[in-house]
Amino acid sequence: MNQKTSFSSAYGWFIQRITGILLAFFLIVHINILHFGEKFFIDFNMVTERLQGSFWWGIFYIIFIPVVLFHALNGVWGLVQDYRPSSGLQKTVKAFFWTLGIVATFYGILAITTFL
Amino acid sequence: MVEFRVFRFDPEKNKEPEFQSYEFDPYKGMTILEGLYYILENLDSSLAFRSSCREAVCGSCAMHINGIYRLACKTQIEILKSPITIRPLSHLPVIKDLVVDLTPFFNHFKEIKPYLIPKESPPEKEYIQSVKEREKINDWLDCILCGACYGSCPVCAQDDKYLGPHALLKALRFVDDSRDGGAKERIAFVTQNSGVFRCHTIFNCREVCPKDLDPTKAIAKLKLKAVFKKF
Ligand code: SF4
Ligand code: FES
Repeated sequence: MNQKTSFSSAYGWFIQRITGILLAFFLIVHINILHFGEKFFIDFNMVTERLQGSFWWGIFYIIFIPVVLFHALNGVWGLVQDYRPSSGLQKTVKAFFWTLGIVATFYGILAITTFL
Repeated sequence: MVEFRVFRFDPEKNKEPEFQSYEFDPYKGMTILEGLYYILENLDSSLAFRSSCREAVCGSCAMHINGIYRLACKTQIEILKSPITIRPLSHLPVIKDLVVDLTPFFNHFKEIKPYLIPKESPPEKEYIQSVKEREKINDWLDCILCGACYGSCPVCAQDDKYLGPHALLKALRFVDDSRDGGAKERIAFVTQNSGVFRCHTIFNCREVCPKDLDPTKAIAKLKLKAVFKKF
């Protein structure tokens, strides 16, 4: 038994579960508001109205963005591992996913905060 | 009359495996293993398969019988529909017919150190284990290392480095043992890349285990122990 292994995969697995539970809540709210709201169609005005109307909607999406990105990218990372990539490729893919996740989170938050 | 369709392959002689059919009259209560012995003794002496105890104890006769991994000695012919298709365990190299090379399976088992590791200060005489402490490992003790779970696991099919349900269940058996001092080392080992977190919770191992063990639950427990460092 080698002991060099870390517990990072344990935390990845755990956070995947937590974000999964949060997503269930976020998605119910998100889909409900977009598709079953008062208005039948979705347009830019509707989004602007909602985000400018309430500080809490801003907070909702600022949390929603990193949660969904972590869950999605970590899920794809799990699938990638099923194909047994070499350790070099694993590192590259992991770095790519982290970069993509961080950039997309900042971009998303920036987009949300411009409305607030 | 019953028909056995048996997987035949000799890597030294054949290019491709094939199924060979044998027909015979089974007696009441005859098991698949007894059927294979009937074929060996009366119809085809070249057929290769493993067995030893003939009573679901040694684990050597696990094979794929009519779509499910089972022990040939524990499965009666009359509960199955003829023709009965018999294949060897999957994800392991075939040595001949129903005999597979179990080296990768046992290597993974050895990797988790399947023995008690002494604690830092072992008792002078003996380890005393209370009834309650013993009960904690009850659910993980009866594994006979038959390989049915390993054969049924799609993660084992994809990744020969994956430790497998049998090794992970045994790891928990030692982690949960009050006499063992290697829990930290074992948990660190099973959280490696090819350890517990490769498990997709597919439940096949639990479904096929002939000893009614639950490797899926054992793996889930190891995951939680790794996260909360409870060991
Ligand atoms: S856990 Fe069950 S199926 Fe797996 S090797 Fe042990 S006895 Fe066989
Ligand atoms: S022969 Fe021992 S388990 Fe079947």
